[in-house]
Amino acid sequence: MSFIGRITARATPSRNLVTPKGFVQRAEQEEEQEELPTQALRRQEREEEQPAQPLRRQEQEEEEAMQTLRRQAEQEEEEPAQALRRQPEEEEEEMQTLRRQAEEEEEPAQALRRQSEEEEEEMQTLRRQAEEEEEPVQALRRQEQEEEEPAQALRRQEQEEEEESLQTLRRQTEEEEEEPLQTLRRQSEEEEEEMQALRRAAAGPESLEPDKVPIPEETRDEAEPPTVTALHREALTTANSGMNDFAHGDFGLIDSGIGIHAGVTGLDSTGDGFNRPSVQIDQLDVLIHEPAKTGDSSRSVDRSRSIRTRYLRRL
Amino acid sequence: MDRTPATLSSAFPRVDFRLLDGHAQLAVAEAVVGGAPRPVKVTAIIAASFALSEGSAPRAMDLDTARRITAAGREWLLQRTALHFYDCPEWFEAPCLACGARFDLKLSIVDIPRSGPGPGFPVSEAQTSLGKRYFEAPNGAHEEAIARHPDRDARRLIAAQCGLSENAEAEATRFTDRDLDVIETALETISPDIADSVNIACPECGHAAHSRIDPLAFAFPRLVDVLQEVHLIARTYRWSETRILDLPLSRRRAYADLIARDSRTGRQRGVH
Repeated sequence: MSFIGRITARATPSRNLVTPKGFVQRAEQEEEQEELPTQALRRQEREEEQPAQPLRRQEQEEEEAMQTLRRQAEQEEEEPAQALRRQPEEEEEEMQTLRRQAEEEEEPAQALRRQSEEEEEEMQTLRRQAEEEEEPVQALRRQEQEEEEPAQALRRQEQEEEEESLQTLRRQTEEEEEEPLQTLRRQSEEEEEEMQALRRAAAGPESLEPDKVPIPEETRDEAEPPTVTALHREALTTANSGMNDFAHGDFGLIDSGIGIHAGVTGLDSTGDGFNRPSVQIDQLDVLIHEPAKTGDSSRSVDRSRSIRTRYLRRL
Repeated sequence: MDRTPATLSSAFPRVDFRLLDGHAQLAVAEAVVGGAPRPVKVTAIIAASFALSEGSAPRAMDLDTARRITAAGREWLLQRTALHFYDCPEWFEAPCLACGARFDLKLSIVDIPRSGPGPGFPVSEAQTSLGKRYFEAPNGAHEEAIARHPDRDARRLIAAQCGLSENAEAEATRFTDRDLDVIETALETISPDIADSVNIACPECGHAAHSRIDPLAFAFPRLVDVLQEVHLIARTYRWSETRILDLPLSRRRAYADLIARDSRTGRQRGVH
């Protein structure tokens, strides 16, 4: 073999190779061993497949039967549902027919409405025209108003100034008139205070309690009127209730000096033949006479006070 | 001579084996099992197995360097690699392409004869019809070119690829047969060579044949075996692929054997 032939032989695959003894056999055996498990597996799969095939067929048949049953059941369930679905559809169609009729009936009304709308539009157009024509007038009015505003402001200012001056005058006159009156009031108040001070000095602290007041000389000799005589001078046989229903001298009791109005409200029946009337005083009219001041004013004051005190004590 | 020759000046370069770990083994196994042309596989195996120790410091053997080695030098390195992976026996067998019988033969690839380069290596001089032309000794790249173009005339292809003139490609088409013979003789004179085939005669039928010894056919690990060991160790010890491939070949094989033995023992206990 030539030199280039040997190089070419090394570069290309060769069929005629020298290999270690037994190498090819071992390789073939390994291939067979590797092949055996796979073949066994394939065989096993085939063997398992054979009994499984009838089962699969059976499963397929069962599945087909189940599918048939499912289809039937679905159809059976579907039919009423479809009927139910159709019913609303039919109702809907009827409703649509009715709606169409109503629409058809509505059409003349719509035409009328359209006509009225068109008329309204025309009216609006006219109104707009009138407004547009009115605009220059309004602009003039606005201009006048704008021109009027300063004059109004001036008027307002004048009014405010007049009002302020009047108020100032009123306040001045009131103050001038008020001052003598207040002087008079203050004088009378001062006199009153003096009088009160004199009264307090004459009366003393005991005058507030009638029992402790000393009896004046004029009434010292008089006996104290009994309480009973004060209350009932005369027994009445008839009862009269209510206020001021009795006449002077007829029923009840009238003290001319004091003005006691009382009446018998009922008779006490005890069974012993003696009726005891109970008197209810409805009203006490206490009239206090204070004579005008004299030269001996302290005495007259004491007298009137003693009369008042005595009646108050009885009460 | 218009260009510098690409072929390495060392016919059989001094190389050191890389640490033969799982990564190198896997690369070799993947190179062998692939569908690439044989010269491409050889390039990958050499690059994965050796470190170039020529020069001041050793450097990695890359694919380009592996290609630039002469054809004989590459075959020599391939046989050395095969011996590293495979404990070669003395007895081989070969089929008879005439009668189909398989017959045994005794040979050793440990000391396969080889011849050194000729004078002027790696460049040869040839007097052609176009004048004196220079050619470099064929290397791995030239082998790969031949493998890529099996339909082309190998002699013209070598003349085109190995020609050092500027117009080598065009001149190759103009060379006469005599020129090509001259070129081939010149190249054979300077190129180193190694025995990679035997002349045999079938003992059954007497058919004479020229059989090749190709380590790629039997000496290198199969990819499936490498992956099987990695798979066993990873499944048992929960180690990563990288960690397993980092192991030296001998230790990885030992772990795989232990796991296989435990598995067998467990199966036997399970049976009893």
